[in-house]
Amino acid sequence: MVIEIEKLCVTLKEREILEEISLNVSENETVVILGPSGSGKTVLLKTLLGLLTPSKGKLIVLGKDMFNISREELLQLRKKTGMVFQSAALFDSMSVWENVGFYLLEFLRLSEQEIRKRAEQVLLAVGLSDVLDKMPDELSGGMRKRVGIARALISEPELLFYDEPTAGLDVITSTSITKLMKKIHREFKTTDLIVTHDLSIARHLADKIAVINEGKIIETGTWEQLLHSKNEFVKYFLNIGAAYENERF
Amino acid sequence: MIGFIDSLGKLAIEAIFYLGEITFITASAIKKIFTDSFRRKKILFEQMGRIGIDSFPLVGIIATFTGMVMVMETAVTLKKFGGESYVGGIVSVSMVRELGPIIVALIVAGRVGASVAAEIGSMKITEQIDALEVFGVDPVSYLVTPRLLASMVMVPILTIMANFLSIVGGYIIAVYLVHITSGVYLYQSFEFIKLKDIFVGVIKSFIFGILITGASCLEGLKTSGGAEGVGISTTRAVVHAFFLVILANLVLTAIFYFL
Repeated sequence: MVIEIEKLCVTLKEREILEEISLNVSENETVVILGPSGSGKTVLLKTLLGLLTPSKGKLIVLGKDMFNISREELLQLRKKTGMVFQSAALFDSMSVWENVGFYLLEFLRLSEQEIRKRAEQVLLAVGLSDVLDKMPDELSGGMRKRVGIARALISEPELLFYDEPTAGLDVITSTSITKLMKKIHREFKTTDLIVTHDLSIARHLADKIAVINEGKIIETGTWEQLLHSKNEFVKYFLNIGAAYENERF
Repeated sequence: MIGFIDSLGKLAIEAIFYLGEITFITASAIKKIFTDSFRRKKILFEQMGRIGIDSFPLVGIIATFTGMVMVMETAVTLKKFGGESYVGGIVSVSMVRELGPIIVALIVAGRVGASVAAEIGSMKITEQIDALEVFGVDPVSYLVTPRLLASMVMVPILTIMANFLSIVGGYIIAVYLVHITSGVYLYQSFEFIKLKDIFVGVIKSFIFGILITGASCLEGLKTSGGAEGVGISTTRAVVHAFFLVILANLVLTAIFYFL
């Protein structure tokens, strides 16, 4: 198991954000955490990354117990994971190649030329060329997302997290990002955990979907299983989303 | 009355908590100076340029004008007692001991403190700091340590330059407006200054540099919300830095000259 979550609770500012979450993620699986805004998806992701401390339950990521992890172990663990942020979170003061090669610049003693070359290769893998020396503010939303994905991939992570990868993108761009995520999963053989409210991602990429609402996972299953769910919220969420998708097309 | 004491107590607790936070962040950053800042020379030199070289024109102009004004003000009073020849000594001592470090610190706090808080605050709200952590990079070591080291080096250098320029500015007014001979002004200027005064001025500015960067980085890292949050952090950084500089000056002056 790559991720084991059992009855996990997260409390922020004396408010319980996540209540007894249980979920397992196997190797090379793509799991989508699906839910509306404010349901606790990003908090779950940040807890998995060790950016937030859980209050109780069990959380094991890549064999490490997140309740008893030292700072050094956490840093080592983070080197095995990649994260694609909702806003891409590119470093404003750095060019595209420095952003993509950040991990190599920080941790490996490689020459600048070598890092540029590696950055160029990963950028090509995400469908970008001739952007090496551009600054983040010169890129479009879709290009920023691709650079964010390239940055997460350069360390060859075992586990890849995506936070709302298509948020704020137009339909065409979000479709191309969804296709890119599928291609990356296939080529880089990563285990993916995707947090989104985009049904299209859940339908096209997920091996397993966990529907989350008000800090609780209310149902887990494949897309087909969820379509036949008896749960009122799952039915409502999927119907609203499907109606919106139909309107879009 | 109880309400007043209650709010006074809360204020005191907040102040102690704040001092604890700033001590913690500064101590954590200082601990990493010898290991991490030399690894990130590019960021260190960039920050030294921003804090030192970019601030120099403003510091230079203000210090020169302050020296000029001080000579004008002091000379008028001293003339009444026939003691205008002492003007050089009075100006240089007040600049080196007090005004030089304070003027430079307030300029740096306003100029650099605000920009550091805004820069780190923007990074916080756009998840760039989370991104650093995800890469296994400690944000204090990456963001605070180089800025702190740059301040520790550049603020004292700016202060020495400000002291020199204020004496030069005073010289122009003393010689060409008050008609004190050049030799008397320069003799008095350097006669009055003791080595201890220069040392105290440099120590003060070194500590001011630490406080300004510590307050600015802390506010930047604590930023929450959107653009409004960055604005609030920037204002708080400048206000806190000003307050800390004035408070530290009081304590340091008392330590060096009265205790």
